Amino acid sequence: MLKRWGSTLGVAIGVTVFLAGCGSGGAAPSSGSNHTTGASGNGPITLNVLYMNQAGYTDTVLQDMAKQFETKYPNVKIDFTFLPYSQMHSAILTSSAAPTAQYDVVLSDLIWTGEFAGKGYTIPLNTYVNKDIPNPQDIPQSIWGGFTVKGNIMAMPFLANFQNFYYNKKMLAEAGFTTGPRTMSEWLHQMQVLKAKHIVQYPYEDSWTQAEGLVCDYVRTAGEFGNGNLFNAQGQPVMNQGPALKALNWMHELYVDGLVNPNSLTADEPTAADAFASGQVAYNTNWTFVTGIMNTKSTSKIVGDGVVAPFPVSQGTNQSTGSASISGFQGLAIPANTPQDLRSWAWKWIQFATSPEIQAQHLQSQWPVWSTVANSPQEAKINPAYKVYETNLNAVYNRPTISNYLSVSSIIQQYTHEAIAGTVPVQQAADQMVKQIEALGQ
Amino acid sequence: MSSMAQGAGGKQRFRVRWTRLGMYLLLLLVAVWTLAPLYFLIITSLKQYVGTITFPLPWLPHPFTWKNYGMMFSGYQSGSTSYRFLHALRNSLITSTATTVLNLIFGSAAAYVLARSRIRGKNAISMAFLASNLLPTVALVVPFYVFTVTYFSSLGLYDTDTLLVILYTSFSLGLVIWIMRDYFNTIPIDLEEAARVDGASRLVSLVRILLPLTTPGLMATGLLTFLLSWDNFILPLILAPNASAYNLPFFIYSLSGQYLHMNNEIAAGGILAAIPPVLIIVFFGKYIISGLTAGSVKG
Amino acid sequence: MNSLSVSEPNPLPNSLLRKLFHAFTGEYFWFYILLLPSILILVGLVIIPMLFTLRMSLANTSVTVIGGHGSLSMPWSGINNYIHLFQSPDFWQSFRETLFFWLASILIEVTVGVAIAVLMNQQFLGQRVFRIIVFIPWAIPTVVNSMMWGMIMDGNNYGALNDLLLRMHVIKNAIVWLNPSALFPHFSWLSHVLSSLGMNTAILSIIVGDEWHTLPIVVVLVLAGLQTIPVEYYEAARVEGATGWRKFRSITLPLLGPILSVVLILRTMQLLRAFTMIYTLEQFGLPVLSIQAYQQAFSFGSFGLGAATSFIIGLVALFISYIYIKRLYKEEL
Repeated sequence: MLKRWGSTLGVAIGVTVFLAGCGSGGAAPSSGSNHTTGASGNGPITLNVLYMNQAGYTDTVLQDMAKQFETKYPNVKIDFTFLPYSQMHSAILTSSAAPTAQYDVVLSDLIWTGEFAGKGYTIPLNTYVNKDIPNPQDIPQSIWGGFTVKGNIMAMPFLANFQNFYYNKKMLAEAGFTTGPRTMSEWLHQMQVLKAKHIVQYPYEDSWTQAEGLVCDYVRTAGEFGNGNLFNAQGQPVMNQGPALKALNWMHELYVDGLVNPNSLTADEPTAADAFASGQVAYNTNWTFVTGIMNTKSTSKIVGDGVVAPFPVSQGTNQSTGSASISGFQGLAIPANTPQDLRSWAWKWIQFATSPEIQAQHLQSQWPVWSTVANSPQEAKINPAYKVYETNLNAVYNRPTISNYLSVSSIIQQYTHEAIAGTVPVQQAADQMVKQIEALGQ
Repeated sequence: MSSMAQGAGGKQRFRVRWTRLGMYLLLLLVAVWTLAPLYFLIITSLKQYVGTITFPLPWLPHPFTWKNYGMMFSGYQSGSTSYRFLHALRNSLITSTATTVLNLIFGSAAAYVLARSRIRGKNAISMAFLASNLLPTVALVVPFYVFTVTYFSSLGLYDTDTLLVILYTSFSLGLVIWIMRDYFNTIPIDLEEAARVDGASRLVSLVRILLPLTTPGLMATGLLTFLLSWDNFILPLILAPNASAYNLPFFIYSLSGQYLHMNNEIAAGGILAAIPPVLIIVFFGKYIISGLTAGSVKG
Repeated sequence: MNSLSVSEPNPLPNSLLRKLFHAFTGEYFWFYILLLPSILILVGLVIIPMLFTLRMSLANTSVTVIGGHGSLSMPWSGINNYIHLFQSPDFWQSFRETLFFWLASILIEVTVGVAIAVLMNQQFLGQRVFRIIVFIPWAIPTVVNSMMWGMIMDGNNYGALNDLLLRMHVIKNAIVWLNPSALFPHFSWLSHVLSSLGMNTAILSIIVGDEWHTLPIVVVLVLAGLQTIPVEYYEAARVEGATGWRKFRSITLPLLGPILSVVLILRTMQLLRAFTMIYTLEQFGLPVLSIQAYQQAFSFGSFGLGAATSFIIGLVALFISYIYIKRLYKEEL
């Protein structure tokens, strides 16, 4: 008996020790100790890159970029971590507090810029940009603006994401419309006709689940009504008046009238894109990735019917741009706790991945940040709607770059959601929103 | 007289038959409730993406593909789906096994003392362990995080399997001690003393006499610990989000963040992650049940 | 009276050496050695973190990066964090949701769970296989379970549940099952009751999905308890002419008492951990207390508030476990 138990225990311990050994061995490429190997100059250097699972540049595209980079610099290896958007912020936050960075390069969303700059999670890239980017003016100022805080460039623009207006031309034709709506009242009319004629049960779906996407849609809708700034020039919240209030009313009424799919209230962007691509709804307002999805056989049942268009705007407003969109730019940043000797390599990778040459290779994935690439004949060939893209990009509103943005956003999400669903009256929800945000500032 | 009795008997048989029919109908209902979601998960995992966004929804795997499973194993390169899946699988195996072994060693040793000794405050200690087991993970995750990244940051534990093993152990140890203590209590002390009279020391008698008798308990607690560790999500979410340490649940969650909600891929990953625990339940389920009930039935 | 007093044959002379030897071979020494690792784990990984949570919750805690190294600042702020929480309607909403989630789940488990167990305790064909099948959902990892129910309860027409109900013409429009801001449009009395409690559709849907996953362990445990009840009891009751319901009330239920306590303990500790399902399906849309604590600390960086919420969760859990422990081990306390 004793022997049997002894040996069982022995085997169990042996297995554990062995497995644990494997574990630490396998985990080494991302551990801090490996950095020092790289730093000594002989061994290979591993750059840990935190990236997001998304449509823009997918993980496959990133790996392709990494291969090219590794061919160019054989002593460097790029090790990716891909996380869902919802995980990105806390991963960066937790990594920042570690003694050595878990990630040497991180993908930074526009809305985090203020917080990262304020708390010093990532380092300013001004010296690198001044030294290595000969033509920074080729990236539109609206994009740079999203990543600059008090003159410090906190991230190198990588992804020019923004929203487009999508509609299903086949459904519109059935309803007797030859083009998409240009004004808000026209859009409302089209939706009412589509519903009345039973062409679709719900004409429109958007991503109104209680998440950042809802804030984007709210800002954009306010923009369509004339002004997408939720804060005035003095930095005071103004959701309870003007275009922002109109937008909230509009969203609520669409919900009450059954013009927007009620599923919108639990839908994130991919879910809303699915509803559009599967032919359940006629309109979708979403990020640029929908263009690819709706035109791909394996992900869409409406291939050939989806149209990219400028956003309808309220009459008498936005005359100059003829659209109103929302920015979702993403940049690449270097965390403050990336070891000194790795920072230049981290920058080399950033410079490489964001370069016009590389972006030109992946035009079908994403709208380039460089104007010259965006205006190139290849872009026009790959993306017949490139003029629309330009219009929408020029009409973007930015969400505020404030250091407590996430807390503010959480309040906006909660009350916008309740206002749309009608659990709180619109005006009351808007007033509450303003009150709570003001309380936050004190 | 006799005909009346017959009639009553017939009525009773009739009633019994109806009751049995009702019982089978209810059982069918339970079976459908249990199996329908699983059936849905399986067919989803065998569909191409469009098959998951078609209305009416195909109730058979249509259009059919094996690709969702294939991608978990082929195309291995840094960051790819198979890379993440296989790393997560390895991490889940390592952390769950190591936690189980540590828990059994520490837990049964402590349970033995708490069952057998007369050391002061042993009841209070037992209760403390039981209470610690009832404490939700969430209540402790904030200090764990802060400890890991500040005071103990020089140990480099953040984002490692080692950290997960330490924390899992702390969360399931109470359960192990609780169950094992009851097992030790059911074993007559005479048995042990007989061995000790033969000259065996306490440690030897523990190993030689008690452990074999508590094998069912060890099995139950070991398997429970394994299942609990296999299932953990919040600790990797906060303390090991990198591909080098994260586990299967976290991997499956991260699949959902992809640019489309590839429900077919999530389903395939989910089924693969569910296979080991399901096998454990099918083959060793009765140990777990007996382990969980042993204490209460006795009490 | 005591196993410790059993004297052992002693080969050593009565000397200092012998005392030393006894110190290391004595009963207590080994007891403490065996107990030590677990005590260390308890103190180091439960008690100290819990106290540290209290410390953080009494400060304006933040984690910042200075010179590439994480550092912690905890300037005392008294009970400000708690005042902030108790004054916030969100906190009370979360508190109610957490409590509702817990109560509703427990209620389902002791009714439906016991009913299924009694049903399965009858003799029928394929009993053994059936028992294994019913147990399987419990083995499915929680994340997989939540993803699965997320697909089933998708609010589009092609969500599995909507598809089924639409085909059967039970509903006319797809229902958004997981919407945390709206109520069932079709069961008005239910939505009435729920809205007066401040509850929503999502919490019910999540309870259903969670019960699919966890009801099996209740059923299986209760079933095991049922099987320990001697058949003679029922025989005796039958002779006395007791009906089925009488038998259930006066024999089954009382004898199930201990096992139901175990079930309640297990389920309570899991329910208070009900983070995974809500986080994966709703993100921050349905902020039960655990979600709130996570969001405060890890999204907003307010570690003080997060710690305060965590500490309240811990206190509630300890309170509940105190009640249980008292009941279970009353003879020892």
